[in-house]
Amino acid sequence: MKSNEKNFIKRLKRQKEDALEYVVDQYLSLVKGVIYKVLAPLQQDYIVDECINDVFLSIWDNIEQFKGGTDDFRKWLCVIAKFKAFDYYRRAVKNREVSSEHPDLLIDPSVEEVIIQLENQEELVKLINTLDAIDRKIFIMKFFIGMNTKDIAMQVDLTGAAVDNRIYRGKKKLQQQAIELKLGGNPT
Amino acid sequence: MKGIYKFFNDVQLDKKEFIELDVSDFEKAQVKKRLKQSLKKKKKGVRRWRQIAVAFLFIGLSGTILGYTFPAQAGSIPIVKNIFQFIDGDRSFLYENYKEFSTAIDLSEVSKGVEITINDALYDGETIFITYSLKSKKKLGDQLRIHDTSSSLKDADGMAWGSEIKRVDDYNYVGLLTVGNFGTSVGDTAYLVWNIDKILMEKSNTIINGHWRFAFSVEATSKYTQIVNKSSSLDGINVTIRQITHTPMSTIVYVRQQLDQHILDYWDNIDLDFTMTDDMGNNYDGLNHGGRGYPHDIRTGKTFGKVDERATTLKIMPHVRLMKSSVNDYEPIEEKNAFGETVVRNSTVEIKDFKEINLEPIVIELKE
Repeated sequence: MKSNEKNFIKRLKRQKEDALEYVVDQYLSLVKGVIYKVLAPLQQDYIVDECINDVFLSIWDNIEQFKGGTDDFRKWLCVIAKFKAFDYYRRAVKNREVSSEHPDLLIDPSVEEVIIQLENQEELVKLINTLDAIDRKIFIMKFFIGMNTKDIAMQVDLTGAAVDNRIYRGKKKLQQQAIELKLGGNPT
Repeated sequence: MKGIYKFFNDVQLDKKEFIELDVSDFEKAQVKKRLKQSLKKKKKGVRRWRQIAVAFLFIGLSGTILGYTFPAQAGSIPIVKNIFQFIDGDRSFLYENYKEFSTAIDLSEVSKGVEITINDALYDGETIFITYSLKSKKKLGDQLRIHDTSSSLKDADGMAWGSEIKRVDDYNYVGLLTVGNFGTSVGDTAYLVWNIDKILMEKSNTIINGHWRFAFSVEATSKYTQIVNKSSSLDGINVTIRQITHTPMSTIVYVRQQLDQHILDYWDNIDLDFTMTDDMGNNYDGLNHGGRGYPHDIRTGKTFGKVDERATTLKIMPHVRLMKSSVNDYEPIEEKNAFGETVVRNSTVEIKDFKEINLEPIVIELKE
């Protein structure tokens, strides 16, 4: 059986490789577009290629966490592409000045550091789960996807100032908890 | 657990974020190919390539044993096979029953509070695999590098050494040394000198200078060689299976690759690989050797797992990947990227042409 629009999500969940090929065929142009928008200023094509590969591998590895149908999949994929691109960008510019074209990417290094270190670990999920639903959403948009306050405010139906305020308070809370987690010892 | 992906279900991106860029079929194929390689790697662990000399790329094979247990990890890696995978999971398929055929060496040298022991060695007539362990009184950190000087393999006119070492606990490490001889025969006994003079602790960048000198010999496992000399050619590429050597653990296929001048003139990168199946429906995994010779005439080979005893024929399918690339240096020029932003370029490397050729399979009758 071959993957098509109706069955590819199911087949991905069953780890059928042809479903991943289907996703590449259908969505590569979108993934490339989303990634390119973030990474183009670096002018390093190999980073774009690596990031594309990483996005599809992440989908393969994490498909069981996806909920919904084809439309939702497209959105989920874009969020992952944005998340990965942002992550690659952040790593690439870590020791460089952040381009003035992307001022949103300048974030508090202490929390950022902690988040990067905790990435992909259960602790991070636990940590994020300590926030309430709106704060959680704001945090993911801000720190994982690099969205600016204005766009976040529109999504959660709050004013920009209210979003900033929540970020400030949430950051303090997370920072404290992240430090505790780290001190608590996390064998890698 | 990568639970963060669950949260992504709730995030809405703005419509302006959904940008599509043109993608060619070639690009799609490249992405798929890369993904497949990544998935394969994930299944097998990480494959390491070592570039030994210009134009000579050698992929070490490995086989290993340790009749040794480590108190701190005794519960997790007491079994030989596990230790083998512990060092190099990627290649473990080759030597599943090597323990039976390896030779215990058990030589130890102590210097500067560090004891290095050569545990076992295995020589399949092509490559020598040596397992060793390192015990230290002090903590040495996560990553070590072993440096050797004036080490030698008797009668070999070219060698490829590869050493990997992995931490077991704070004071114990296990390692695997692979020595290949680029296809020259060194006889049925390999005489080795391994002279370690430095241990580098990568994290702290500190070096322990000492002397750990080993000299020992390993007998080759019994082997049977079948001369084949069958060829397959297409478009100026000729592949000849010279011979097949059967050892108790592996099957080594020796190949000669000949290329016409027009192929060399046009293509920059020519990669030969081949897959092997038998009449019992088995597919064999293998590892390429390095090559030696001239660009138009290279002798190389590949080591596969042991062939199914019930098989009567082997089918070898050569395929060649050809690539032409170009590096263009020019005056810096400004151009707009897909988003209308200005980028400055002064050189580009691009694949100008790409071709994959599948040659006619070569079928070999196996002899008893």
